[in-house]
Amino acid sequence: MEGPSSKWENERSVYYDFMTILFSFFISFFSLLFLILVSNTLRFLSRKKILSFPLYTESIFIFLFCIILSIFIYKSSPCLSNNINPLVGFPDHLRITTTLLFFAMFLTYLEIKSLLSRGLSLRILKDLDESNTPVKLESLKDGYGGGLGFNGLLDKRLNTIKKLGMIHYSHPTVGPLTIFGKLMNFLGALFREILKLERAE
Amino acid sequence: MYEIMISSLSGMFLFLLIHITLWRISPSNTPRMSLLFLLVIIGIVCSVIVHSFFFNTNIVSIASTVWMDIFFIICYLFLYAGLSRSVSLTLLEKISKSKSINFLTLVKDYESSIRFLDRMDLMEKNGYIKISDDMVTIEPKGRRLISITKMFGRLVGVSLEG
Repeated sequence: MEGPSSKWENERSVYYDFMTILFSFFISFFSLLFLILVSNTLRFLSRKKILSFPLYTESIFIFLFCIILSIFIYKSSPCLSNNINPLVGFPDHLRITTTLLFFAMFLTYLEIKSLLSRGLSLRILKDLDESNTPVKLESLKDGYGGGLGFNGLLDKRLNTIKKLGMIHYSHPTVGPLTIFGKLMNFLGALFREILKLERAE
Repeated sequence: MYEIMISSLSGMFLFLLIHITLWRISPSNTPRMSLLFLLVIIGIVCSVIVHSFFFNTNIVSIASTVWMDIFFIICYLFLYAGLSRSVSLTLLEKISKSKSINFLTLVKDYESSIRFLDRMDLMEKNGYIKISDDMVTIEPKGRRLISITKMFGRLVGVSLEG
């Protein structure tokens, strides 16, 4: 039969296990916050012309920084948790999965960033919000994207795809696709075919 | 480590199996994010059950399995969001059909691929805007959404460009 001291030991063990899980979550979360802070500082310095670098340099830096933080999490999480409380253990498998959790948070951050900057419906709402008066449907369409209209936005998007190395583009001729573009097109078509996307009536 | 991997992959396998089956049985142009979220929960629960039943009931080990599940699922959702409704991908598809294409021809395809009127209808249905006699007005719910978006945009360091 389980005695009171054994029950207490059990509860104590569950408490420290719970602390380990919390630590593993928060080390990933705070690392992400640190990454966002550094990224925003860089963007701020770039806007103020204190540091000047192209868009792709910033992206490369963020990815490199993400890798450095992952290595930091993997190497130092047992040591850090031990410093907080020597009874809080940090098994090897948790080191790996905590690093993966950080990657998952980083991908979520990138997705939110993309949604906030490229959201088409949000951009329409923003245009309406800034106009302050009712707007005609047609003029909303023509002035879409802060006056850029569809032509301007398409040109911008094509330039982004060109920068990513997927197409050759020199206005007004669009194409052909590069090898990377062909690969992306193939993967996209395959994925859409598997899930039968864009095929609904 | 292998037991965590096996448990996690079993959950992912179940998630993908139900997801692909459902999506193929009833195709839809909407992303069906709520349904996808429900399937994610089913996948994670499956991993936890497999891990507790076949390997280890230790809570740290189960948490490790859940972290790995989250990683796999986020990777998949990243791919899903990127590929399923990507306008850039639709453009690549149009360009791939002929060696090169004129910009003005592509504008027409671009207009249809971003489904301007569909988006307006959806926003009206959700109470963000009001459309009457071809005039569009933003509703208080829409203004609130824009303020929240701007706030989050400032936090992550991006501005809404569309």
